[in-house]
Amino acid sequence: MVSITGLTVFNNYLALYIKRKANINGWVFLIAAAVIILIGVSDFLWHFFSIRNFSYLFFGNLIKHPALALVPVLLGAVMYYLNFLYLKDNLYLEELGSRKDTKYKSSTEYPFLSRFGSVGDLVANEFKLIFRNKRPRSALIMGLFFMFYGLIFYTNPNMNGEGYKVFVSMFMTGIFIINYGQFMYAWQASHFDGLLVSKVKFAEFLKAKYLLFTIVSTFFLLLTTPYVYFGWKTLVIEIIMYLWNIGVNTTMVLFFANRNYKRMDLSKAAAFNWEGMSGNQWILSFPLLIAPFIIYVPFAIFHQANTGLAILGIVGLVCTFTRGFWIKKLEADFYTKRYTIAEGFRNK
Amino acid sequence: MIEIKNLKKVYNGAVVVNIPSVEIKKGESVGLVGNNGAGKTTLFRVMLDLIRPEAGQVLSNGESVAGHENWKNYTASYLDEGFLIDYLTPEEYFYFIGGLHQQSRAHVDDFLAGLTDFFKGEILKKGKYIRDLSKGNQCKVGVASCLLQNPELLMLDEPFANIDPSTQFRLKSILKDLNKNKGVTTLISSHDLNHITDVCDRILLMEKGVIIKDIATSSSTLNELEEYFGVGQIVSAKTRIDE
Repeated sequence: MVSITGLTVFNNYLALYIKRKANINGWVFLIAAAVIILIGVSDFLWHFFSIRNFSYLFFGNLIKHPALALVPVLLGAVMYYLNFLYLKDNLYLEELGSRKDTKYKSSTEYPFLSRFGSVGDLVANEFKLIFRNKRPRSALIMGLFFMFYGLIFYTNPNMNGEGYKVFVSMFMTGIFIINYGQFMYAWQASHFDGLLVSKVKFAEFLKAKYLLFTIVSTFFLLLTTPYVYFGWKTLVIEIIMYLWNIGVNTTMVLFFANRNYKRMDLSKAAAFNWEGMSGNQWILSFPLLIAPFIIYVPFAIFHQANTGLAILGIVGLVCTFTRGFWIKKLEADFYTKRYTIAEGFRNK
Repeated sequence: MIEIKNLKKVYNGAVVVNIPSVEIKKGESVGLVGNNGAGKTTLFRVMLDLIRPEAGQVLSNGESVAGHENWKNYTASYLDEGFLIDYLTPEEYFYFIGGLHQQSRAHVDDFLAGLTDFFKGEILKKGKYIRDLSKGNQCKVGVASCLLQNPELLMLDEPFANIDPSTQFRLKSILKDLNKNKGVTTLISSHDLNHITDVCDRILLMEKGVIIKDIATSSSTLNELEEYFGVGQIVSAKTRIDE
């Protein structure tokens, strides 16, 4: 009893500590999650060791040596003390800020992007936005985390069907589009007025979004190529879903971006932050998740799954090559909503 | 240059801007004064097509600003920090704005070198993002980026509010130089009656969304304005309404 209470206390403060650290640096969360998953996987999947045996060992001995009950309590106390120290050190917000300020913020350039002219400049700005602000940075890092989705699904014999692969591939190459795109253009809420009065043409602004999504999705696709280990078809499906993502999902995300009027503060952390959320994000996720299956499933039912996949790929390609048309549509749509968007973003 | 016709903006049933007709000619320097809530910023926003008016329109060079983009080529404006990209360093921001106007980096560097006095060494090469600068320094970045665009029309909303006195004087001489020697049309709002009467040849006084006075600046203008703003207060105390 005492030891279980002790463990609970330990867990509680460990979670608090990780959350605090994760808010400062997204990597902490990734590492913590990876460790927990590794422990779980190595028990249930790889059978390196067994958590059950470990717990038998501990609780079994507990009956023989009641003094052992103090170990979890001690662990709990240590964790509490760590938290206490951390909070005490960071009690003054000002110190946190000033310590950060001492780091010299240098200007960066992305020579690769400069060949795209002013569209490239816009994308460079957006990359800086992502790397220099906490919340969008976390969105990107979470995207990396989704790269492991394949490991979870592909290794599981029950979830190895092609339908699952379509789903998983869409997430792996498109998670950034969904995760980052769902809040567009609120990432730029704080300087939206400036964009509107500047010489930036909205068509160029949209082209920059497409370019950004294409670059990041391509990067993620390259990261997922090792999954070819699970069969060449896995890779084919990944490429098809990549085409779908940069062709169809980007356009859908931008269509909904025209309907997002909520301001967002970039400096706040991502985890458990609901600012900028509205029904919009939920409505948005449905078509994004369902659309590819509306095409794929009917074919799969009639055992024509390959045709379904081919059509997904073709639709993706066609949409990619007709971007000019979609940009015009989105631009016209934007002009009917621009005042509402700008006003929403001005409301702090 | 600018023509305002039957302009009306209503917020929650209250009329915040109501201007039947105003014309600003090319090369004029116009100051906009009025207490808080008089509608100065709203007027600016309508003129920059950031807010849709309920009625009327603003013409820039004979073309309505709403739905057209041409005015963006010759209009530079700074209303508040919302015009700055706050996660960039000032240099990156200047290069970005310069790039939009087809200026090379070397050109931007040259131009910034000419503003050394105005920046007082607080802006460039400080290793700070714009968001880490003080409000006054952000204002300097905003004003400088306007100048960088070589505008024909310059619109500034309370540029004197957050900057220190010596920068205020530098800014005044910059504005006078732009208007008198380079023919730039300027439209500036301010609560500082001294500065505004010094810089501008024409003063528009706003009250509750209406322009109640349109004065060509003369030696008596400052007194006239002080009288208006100081109603019911002891005149001999020379009350200045700042803020």
